[in-house]
Amino acid sequence: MPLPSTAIGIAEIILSRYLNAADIGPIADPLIGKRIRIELETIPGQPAISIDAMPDRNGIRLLPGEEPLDQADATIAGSPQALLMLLLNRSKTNNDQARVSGDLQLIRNLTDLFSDADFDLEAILAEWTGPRRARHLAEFVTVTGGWLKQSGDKLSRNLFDYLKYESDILVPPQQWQQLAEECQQLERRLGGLQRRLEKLEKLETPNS
Amino acid sequence: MVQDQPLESAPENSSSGTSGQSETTAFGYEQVPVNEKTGRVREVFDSVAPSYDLMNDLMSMGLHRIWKRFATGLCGVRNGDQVLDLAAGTGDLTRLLARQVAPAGRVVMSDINGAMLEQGRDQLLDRGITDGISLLQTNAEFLPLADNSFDCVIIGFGLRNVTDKLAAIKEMHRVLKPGGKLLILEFSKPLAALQKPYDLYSFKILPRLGKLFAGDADSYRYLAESIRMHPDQQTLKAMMEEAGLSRCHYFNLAAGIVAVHRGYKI
Ligand SMILES: C[S@@+](CC[C@H](N)C(=O)[O-])C[C@H]1O[C@@H](n2cnc3c(N)ncnc32)[C@H](O)[C@@H]1O
Repeated sequence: MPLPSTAIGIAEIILSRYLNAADIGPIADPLIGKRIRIELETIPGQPAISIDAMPDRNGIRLLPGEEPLDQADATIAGSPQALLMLLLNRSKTNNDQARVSGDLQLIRNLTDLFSDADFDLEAILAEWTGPRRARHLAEFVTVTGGWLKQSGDKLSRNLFDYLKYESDILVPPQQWQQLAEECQQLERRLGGLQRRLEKLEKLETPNS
Repeated sequence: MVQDQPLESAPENSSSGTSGQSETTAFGYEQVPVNEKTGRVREVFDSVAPSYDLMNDLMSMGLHRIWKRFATGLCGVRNGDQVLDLAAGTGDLTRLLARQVAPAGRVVMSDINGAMLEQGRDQLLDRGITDGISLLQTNAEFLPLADNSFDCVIIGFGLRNVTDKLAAIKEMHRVLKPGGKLLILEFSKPLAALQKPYDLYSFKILPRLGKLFAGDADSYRYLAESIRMHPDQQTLKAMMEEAGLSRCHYFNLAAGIVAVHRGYKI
């Protein structure tokens, strides 16, 4: 199941900011131009969310995983927590492990990129994956908020504004209907206003 | 070739390359001879230049700022990169990108219209941004720039004004370095459910805003018409592929009112 492109774009921008904040150098050659399919299993029994990660010299581009799977050089599948542990080069003792296939060296290069990053994301996110999720999730949000704040300009705020704007647009159909009716009413009023203005213009210029 | 201020003009060439005298092209909803469109577009932007930023905010209810941040975020450029901002107008994208490529990189801020470019240059100066930016006055269809010279080319809300869009995209592809990317931020085709209020806004309210705040309803009517005549998401993606770009993809914003297309020179 591919994610909407706006969400993918926002995820890519946030990832870029993380990689920039972590001050990683140019991406290593073996990764550049490769396509790594990520199958994110968020809800058991539901189709996984497919994302293609494509490193270039400056970072990692993300696209909805719409291309056939055989176009990918490697695949990583698992729950968000399992993927996180894999990226941070941590093996987990329970059976929630990410499954990898294809070019394993490529995946090793990718995980090296994250584990070499000089940024303590692990300390932030490890708590999220712990047993008392609710409380830790709240901590995660607070800490991430702080990190986003630190990490430069107002991009994150704009993104939240943007998400808010998008969610405002995705209103239920009855509200659409109402909006359409109000727009029609507005259109009629504008028409009336235009005619009055034309009348006024004529009054102002009696000779024309 | 490209200078740090003042403005440099590229040699004028207003024919589209595929055109003859008798061929016509869309200027909003009007058909005009191909070789007249560039001049007509220039008149529109000469007229709107002084009020351009105010109108941008009014027209998009401030959203253009977010769309521009989204597009520049997807450029993924870094310190040291060379970027070309085409149809840069008053330089909003240039400003955002200059920060990303500083201190070692450079953004070439380019537009066909001297008045817009001057406005942009003055605004950059007012904000104290002088380093790492060059100015170039040129038509996007005929770039006086070397092959393989930019890590990223971006054109924001400019492509719909260009007469021969495919020729322009081919030029952008030519000046990109291998591995470099092209981003096109442009109005596009919104969800069907949005069409009616969007039409009302574009054709009834927008020209009135233009008249009220910029004293120029016709230019803003042209802007609304030119948006409708612009290729939709899929068509533009196909044009990018035809121009030689790979891995082309588009990101819809505001339910498709605006889209960011991205493609790579491989
Ligand atoms: C709507 S403005 C966009 C300015 C800026 N990129 C922004 O996003 O705010 C469009 C610009 O395209 C420029 N333009 C129109 N036709 C052009 C062409 N053929 N080549 C280069 N620029 C062109 C206009 O002069 C104008 O400044």
